[in-house]
Amino acid sequence: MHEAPILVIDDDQAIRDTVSEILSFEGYPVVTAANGADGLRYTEQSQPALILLDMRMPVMDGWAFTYELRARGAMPPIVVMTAAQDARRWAKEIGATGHLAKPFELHDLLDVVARIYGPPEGLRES
Amino acid sequence: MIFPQGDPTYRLDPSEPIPPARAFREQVPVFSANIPHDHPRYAEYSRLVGATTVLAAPITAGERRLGVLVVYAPRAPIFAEDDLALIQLLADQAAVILESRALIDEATRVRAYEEATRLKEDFLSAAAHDLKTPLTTLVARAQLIERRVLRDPAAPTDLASIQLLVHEAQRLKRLVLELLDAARTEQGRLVGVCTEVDLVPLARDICQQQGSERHLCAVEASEPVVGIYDQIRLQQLLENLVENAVKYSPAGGDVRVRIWHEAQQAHLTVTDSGIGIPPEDLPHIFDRFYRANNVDDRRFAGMGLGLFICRGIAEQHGGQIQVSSRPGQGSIFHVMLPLAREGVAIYA
Repeated sequence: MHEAPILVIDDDQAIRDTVSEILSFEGYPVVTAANGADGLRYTEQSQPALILLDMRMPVMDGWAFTYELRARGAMPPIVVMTAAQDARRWAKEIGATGHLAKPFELHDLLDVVARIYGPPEGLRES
Repeated sequence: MIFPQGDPTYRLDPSEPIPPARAFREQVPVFSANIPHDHPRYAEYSRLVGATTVLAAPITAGERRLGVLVVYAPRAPIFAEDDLALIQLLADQAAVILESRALIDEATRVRAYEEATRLKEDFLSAAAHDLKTPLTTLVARAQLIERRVLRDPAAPTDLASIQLLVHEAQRLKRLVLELLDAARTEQGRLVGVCTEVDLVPLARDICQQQGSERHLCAVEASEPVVGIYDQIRLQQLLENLVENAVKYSPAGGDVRVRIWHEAQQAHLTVTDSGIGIPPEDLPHIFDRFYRANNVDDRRFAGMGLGLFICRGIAEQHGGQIQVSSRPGQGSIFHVMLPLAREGVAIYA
């Protein structure tokens, strides 16, 4: 069965690739975007099951992305990933399900994803 | 001593019997028409400074004794006892002025302290944010490598991941060094050992390193331009300006460095044909953590400290740095530094 992926939106390529590879290695389907505008284009074609969202990005930041996403009626869970001290406040502002303060540990990322998305496909009971 | 005429070491002893001390001690205006007569102990000094008649009034703000206003004359009747009321009025005015001065000073101190605290907090939070970005990759990527090896010890070495670690570690190192330089800039401690430096070969070396097929970098200079500089910092200044010029120029956009001396100053300009700087950003371009609005952070990584450090280097050499720019047409950075003078040397 084709599963809805996790959408990773971050303007820092190294972080984007690392998060994406960590998740793929566990068997999660992942797509990436370098800013809110790219992320939004993806959601217009396909619905992600979870969005990992950086907040401060060029072109379109996390706030504008969330606003546009909600305006289109989409309500997938969002987890804010930010290096700013205001991670919790920002997550609340946009109605996120959770936040991951950078720098986060690999197991924190997997823990948050497992709790919201569930275990990766390979580990599910059929 | 009663009439300390400009003696900065003079301290009034309030226990003395003379009018200024009594005015301070008893908080009333005091008059003496004839000091040598009223206070024989001070006769000699009184004659010496030519002061015979004295009026003294306390300068007092509420309960706080600020000082004494003393007026003296070589002889009576230039003043009489009747003048006590006037001198007290003047002393009261002085108290008001001193008191408001003290309040203004205090308010200025508090404001300066608050501003310094705010700047420090801004600095720390911006710095922490920028350091956390490469750190996020370092931590999570290293743990991914570990996880892959643990799951399959026979898996081939993940060279791409290791190269990413090296790259991000170097990025972190550059940021830390830049932050340290920014802190030194703040403290005015950027410039170290100064020696005779010719700007021309220094610029030629840097241009050669930074120039490429995409961007030609040329130095125009007709003679040596020598100053007493910290060579490492001057190199950093030039590298930063040339690097920026190259970074923000389109392919084929040439970078020109001109060096000359004029009116006892070394002049150096770096001209590019890049994206330029919007006029509203120009006044802030040398500020700490400032990045122009037309800079795409994704393409041009940076903390916004480079030009702040450049200005520090120029100014701490006794020089200055200016910029002129038109969006879409390029920028000119102009550095002015003191020239080495014949027969003058500084061994820092």
